[in-house]
Amino acid sequence: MSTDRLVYVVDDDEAVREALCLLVESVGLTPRGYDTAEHFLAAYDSDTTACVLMDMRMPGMSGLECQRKLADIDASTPIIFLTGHGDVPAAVKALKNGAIDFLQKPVSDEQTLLDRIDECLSLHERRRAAEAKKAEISERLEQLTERERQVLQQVAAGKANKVIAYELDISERTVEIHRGRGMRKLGIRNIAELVRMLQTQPRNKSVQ
Amino acid sequence: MGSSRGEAGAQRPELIDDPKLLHAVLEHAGLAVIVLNAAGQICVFNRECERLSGLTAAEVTGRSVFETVLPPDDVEEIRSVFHALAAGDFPNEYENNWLHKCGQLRRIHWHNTILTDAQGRITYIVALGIDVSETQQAKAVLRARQEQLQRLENAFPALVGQLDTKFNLVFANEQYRRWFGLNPERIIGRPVVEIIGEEAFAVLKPHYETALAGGTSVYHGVVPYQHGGHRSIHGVYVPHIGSDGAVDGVYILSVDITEQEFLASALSYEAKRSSSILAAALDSVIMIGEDGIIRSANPSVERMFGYTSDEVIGRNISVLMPSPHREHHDEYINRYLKTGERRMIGIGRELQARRKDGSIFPVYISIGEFELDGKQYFTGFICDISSRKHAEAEARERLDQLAHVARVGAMSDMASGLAHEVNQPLAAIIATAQACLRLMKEARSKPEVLQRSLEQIIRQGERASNVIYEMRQFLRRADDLKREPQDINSLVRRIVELIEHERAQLSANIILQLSDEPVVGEVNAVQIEQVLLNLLRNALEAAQAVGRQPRVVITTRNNNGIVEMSFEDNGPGVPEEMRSRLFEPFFTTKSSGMGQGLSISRSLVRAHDGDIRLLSTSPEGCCFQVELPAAEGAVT
Repeated sequence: MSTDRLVYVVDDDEAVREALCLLVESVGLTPRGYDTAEHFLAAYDSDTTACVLMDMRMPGMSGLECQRKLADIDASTPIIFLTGHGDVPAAVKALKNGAIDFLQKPVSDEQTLLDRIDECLSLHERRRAAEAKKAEISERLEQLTERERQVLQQVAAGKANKVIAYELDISERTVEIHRGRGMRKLGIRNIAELVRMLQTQPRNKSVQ
Repeated sequence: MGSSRGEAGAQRPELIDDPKLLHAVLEHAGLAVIVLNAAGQICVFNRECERLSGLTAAEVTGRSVFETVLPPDDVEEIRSVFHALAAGDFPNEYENNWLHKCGQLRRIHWHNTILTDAQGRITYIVALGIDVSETQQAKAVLRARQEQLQRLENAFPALVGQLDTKFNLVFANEQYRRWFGLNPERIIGRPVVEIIGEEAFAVLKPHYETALAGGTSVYHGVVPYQHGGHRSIHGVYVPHIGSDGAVDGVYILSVDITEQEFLASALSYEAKRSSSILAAALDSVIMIGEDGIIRSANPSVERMFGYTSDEVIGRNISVLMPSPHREHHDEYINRYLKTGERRMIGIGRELQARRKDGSIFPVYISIGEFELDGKQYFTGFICDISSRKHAEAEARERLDQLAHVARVGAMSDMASGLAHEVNQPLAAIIATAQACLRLMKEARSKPEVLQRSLEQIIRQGERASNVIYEMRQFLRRADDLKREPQDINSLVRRIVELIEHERAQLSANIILQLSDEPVVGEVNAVQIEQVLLNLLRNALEAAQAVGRQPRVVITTRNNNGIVEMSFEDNGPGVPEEMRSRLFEPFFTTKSSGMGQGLSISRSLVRAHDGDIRLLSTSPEGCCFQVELPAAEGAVT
């Protein structure tokens, strides 16, 4: 995992692109400039903390299309849209689709822009940390046997061992053994922890 | 004298026997007297014979008549006459030629007789001759004269006839016979009334009578002929004097002038008509000769130029022209007469004319020419087009106003795009400057980065100002509607630049196939740019409307003095039923649009004496072509 904080600058206008890159550089961030959305997508690295500074209207793929493409690959990199003209419907759409902000060019108060970039990078960091944790949990969940997972799910749902034994048609003692072994595998000691952990996972992964 | 008669009679016998008398008579009678013996030898040859032959009596006496005075060719014939005489055929008359010593022939009329001896034998032949050479000649001349007269009468372009005192036709020339369509044998000797009819005879009879009374009568008028209908004739009736000196008939000379009368009346109608037209014409009509001198001028000349007809007639046409034509007009005529090369005649041109007060005004002149008696004449029709020019200028101004409204409209359509065009460089400038400030504040600024940034700021500032300049250029009112030689290629490039943002948004492909040489037209740049922008935007929108990626090919070329520009798109083409209405105002195929673009474009192009048309169309695209006259002196 790279520790760089990248800012992708996507604008077909070379002058604007270079100016934005310089501005990004001036606050110690690493800019990456692309003249089209296609070029940006080809070079996009999901494994880096980054944010995207993108023009709405570009020849070829538009900013909105590019936003959709990123969503399709579950990319969590936040996007700030820049536009030369007050295209309200496009702005609304962009924000609904998860864009962080929509700024009008020229950005006279660069501090706002830089703050936004900073926010985005932090957001991305948090998102990436959460994702990392989620990935770790699901890795541990992978270690559970089928029976252990069934028992722990029933436990998280708040059912007593006796009820679980009855429903799974096994002995209460067997339920206790699965429960103890499963908790050890997941590295947790109480039910509250178990509930939180299972909630981070998509349901289809926990219920077969 | 009566008293001397008896005396003379008394002296007669002695006189007759006096040989002196015989000699006097022989020598002085004015008769040629030649006496031959039976052998034909000359015995007597008097003075008249000497005159006729050029020979003396002494020279010929004793010689044969056949060898002396007769032309050799006639000798045989005369011998036979001689033998006939000798055989007793006498007295007789005979005419023959004598050959004068100098070679001239004389015609002599002879009375011949013979003298016999007591036994009745011929002793001498006596021939008395009269020189009739002159008479013969006179007769020949007379005959020739008569024939000539006859020929003349026949050839005379008039009817020539002769009536006797009872009005019978005794002579009619060929014209006369032909005119009445009658054979000579059918009219000669017939009463003229049967030929010309009662009515005509009634009209002409008084004139015949005047002539018969010894006077000459002339008739000019219509005669109702029985066969020929009513004809206008000019007739002269002259008394015909017979050999006895008395009037023995009427000599008629008449000419059928029906056609001439008709032509004359037609001619005078034509003359009156044209002079009334000329008088009423609003155009000045001026006729000049090869020398440029004005021969005639109609009343309009005074109204238009301030000169009366009398003032200009006789002066050179150049007084009605301003310089430089004023000084060169004679050369123009001479060049035309020499080369026949037409620059004005039959073509018609707009030119400047000059009034008497020196003021100049625009005219349209067309010139016709005609030849009369080997000299060339020119008629100029001059129309004062000041008011037309004025109206044209007004129309141009109105068109300009309309065009300006359309320009502003087009610009507002493009406003958001153009705002973006300005915003881009501004965004770059601001961001660059902000970055620089930050770098400087934190003392991290490298001089080369700052320098590059400042340079970038300047470039982008220029870029923004350029966009604004282009916009203002496009929106400006066409000053004075002035036309100047412009390279059409540069206008095309300028428009393509102006529309760059729209092009980029549509991902359109604009392909320029411009002539390598400058294509120069005498145009108002603002107006023609508007036309080009209209066509280019139409071309882009056409493809976009049917979801195709727009592709526009713009070509320019100079085709023999015509600047041609074409715009080829890949849109859906123009449906057949819309083609004819394409250039009408308020006609549009677009969902939004006023339908003014092509209509105004065409008006603008036509104001430049050019045209715009749909060159080709298909479902795969269409092509519009603009044609403008190339600037004079431009590269072709």
